[in-house]
Amino acid sequence: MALPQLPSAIPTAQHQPARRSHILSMPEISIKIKQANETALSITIDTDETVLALKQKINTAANVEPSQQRLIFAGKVLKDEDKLSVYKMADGNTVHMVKGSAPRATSSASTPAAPSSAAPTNLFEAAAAASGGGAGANPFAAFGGGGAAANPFAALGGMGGMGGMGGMGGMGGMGGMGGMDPNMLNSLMSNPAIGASIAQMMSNPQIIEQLAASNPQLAGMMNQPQVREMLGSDGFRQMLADPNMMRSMMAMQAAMMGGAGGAGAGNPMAAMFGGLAPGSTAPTAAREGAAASPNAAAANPMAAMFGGLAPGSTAPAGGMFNPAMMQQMLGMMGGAPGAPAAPADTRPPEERFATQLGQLVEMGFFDASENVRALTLTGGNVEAAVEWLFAHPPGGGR
Amino acid sequence: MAKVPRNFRLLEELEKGEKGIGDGTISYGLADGDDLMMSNWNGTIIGPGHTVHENRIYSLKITCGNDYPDRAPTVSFLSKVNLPAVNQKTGKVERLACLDSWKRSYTIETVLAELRREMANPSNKKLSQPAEGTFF
Repeated sequence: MALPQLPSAIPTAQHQPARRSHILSMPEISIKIKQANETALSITIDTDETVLALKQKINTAANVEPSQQRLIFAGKVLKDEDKLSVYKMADGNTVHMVKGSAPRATSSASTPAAPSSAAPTNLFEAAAAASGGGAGANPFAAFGGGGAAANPFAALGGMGGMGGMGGMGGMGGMGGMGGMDPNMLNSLMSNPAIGASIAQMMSNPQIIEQLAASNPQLAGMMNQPQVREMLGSDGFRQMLADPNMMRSMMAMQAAMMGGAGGAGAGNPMAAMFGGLAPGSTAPTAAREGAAASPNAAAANPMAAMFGGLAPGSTAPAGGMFNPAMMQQMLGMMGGAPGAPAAPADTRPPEERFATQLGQLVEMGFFDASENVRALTLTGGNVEAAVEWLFAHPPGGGR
Repeated sequence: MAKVPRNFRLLEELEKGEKGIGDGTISYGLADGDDLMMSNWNGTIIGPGHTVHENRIYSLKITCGNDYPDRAPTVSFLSKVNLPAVNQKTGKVERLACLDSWKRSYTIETVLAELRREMANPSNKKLSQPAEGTFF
């Protein structure tokens, strides 16, 4: 059987487990890893570790890529994200390993090339054009939404708007989607100029002050030391400036949307950008993001957090905003600056978007590879994928 | 010969399952480690080589009733598999020699091993199989 490699971009997951061994709370166990026709491998590992961590240890010892390992213990196939304790693994137990046979991926699915990536070469210019004037005393407003001149964070809102422009490229820039085209955002965030200006912005206390002053609700929040600390912290700044971070957040978003049944409402990025930029082009998205089902929001601290920052948002998000969580976030970011918040989803798109694919088929889109392509491009947003599919009929000009 | 009571028997099997049997081509364990009655078990069978089942992992559910091991356990495939012994609608194993003429000395391992032999059986090993990862 041909074994196509899984996408090997797992930079995120590898950083995480290692640090925990210092805490020394859970017992270490020694287990055997058996593989057909090969001598057993002995591995010592903490039961608090995940299956993925075990796979990485096996990789170190036996040089088998984690994506190529399938582990079986006591009649169960182990899942990467579960902790070993879930399976009640104990000292001296044996885990069986089967190599290979990663889920199949069709070739067409692995081309996340953005058809809409005719992105304006000069993002600043384009954004300025989008804002339709309104650039006031504040230089950042240059790429903010119209009329947001007094608010430096309009810069961020402007990015939401940019996403919307990407939407015109065929990604279905619908209101509900908040114009968040993942690819667009990615390319935007990869732009060093933008990253730099955000970093500059966030590191400037005056701007933070200005932001606080311009918005009573934020001002209230600003009085909470944790929040202030967070905004000023390196981790947060780095997060905003780091394209990888953004990308992993997008991945997280995609995962979440999958979980929430593709409800467009649970778009944490929309909440973040829309929310930080009152009066910008994405206020609807902000509200929608903030009012996302509690379920979705709870699953994603980011969503709640940024929803909480959204001045235009209503009670639900505000209620979810919670200093303890914030501190936790802060701890996370401080502990591992630049480390993405969630492991990137490395499953192939078919698997990741299984729910959405099902929905597309129900809607009458039968071209599986096109469906996967559309979902990949839209980060799993079914509605946007439909738009894209309409805009790109199979065999049509693309 | 003294009869080993049900729970002692199942404890023995549990221990054996966790230690791992042979080359690991079959494996089993309690579905819920807190289940004091030890009734519900999970099993896996790794498809035998040089057959259509090669490199596949089949998951099964095994239920040992109160009268186990005097009565055979009920065994069902969770993963879809095309075998004459398996009901294609429910995944239940319905025609397996060791289940049909159950003996007290048989174990969960006996059943899984026989199922694996069924897969490798020349009359079965080329049967077309449903896509991997599909379930009953």
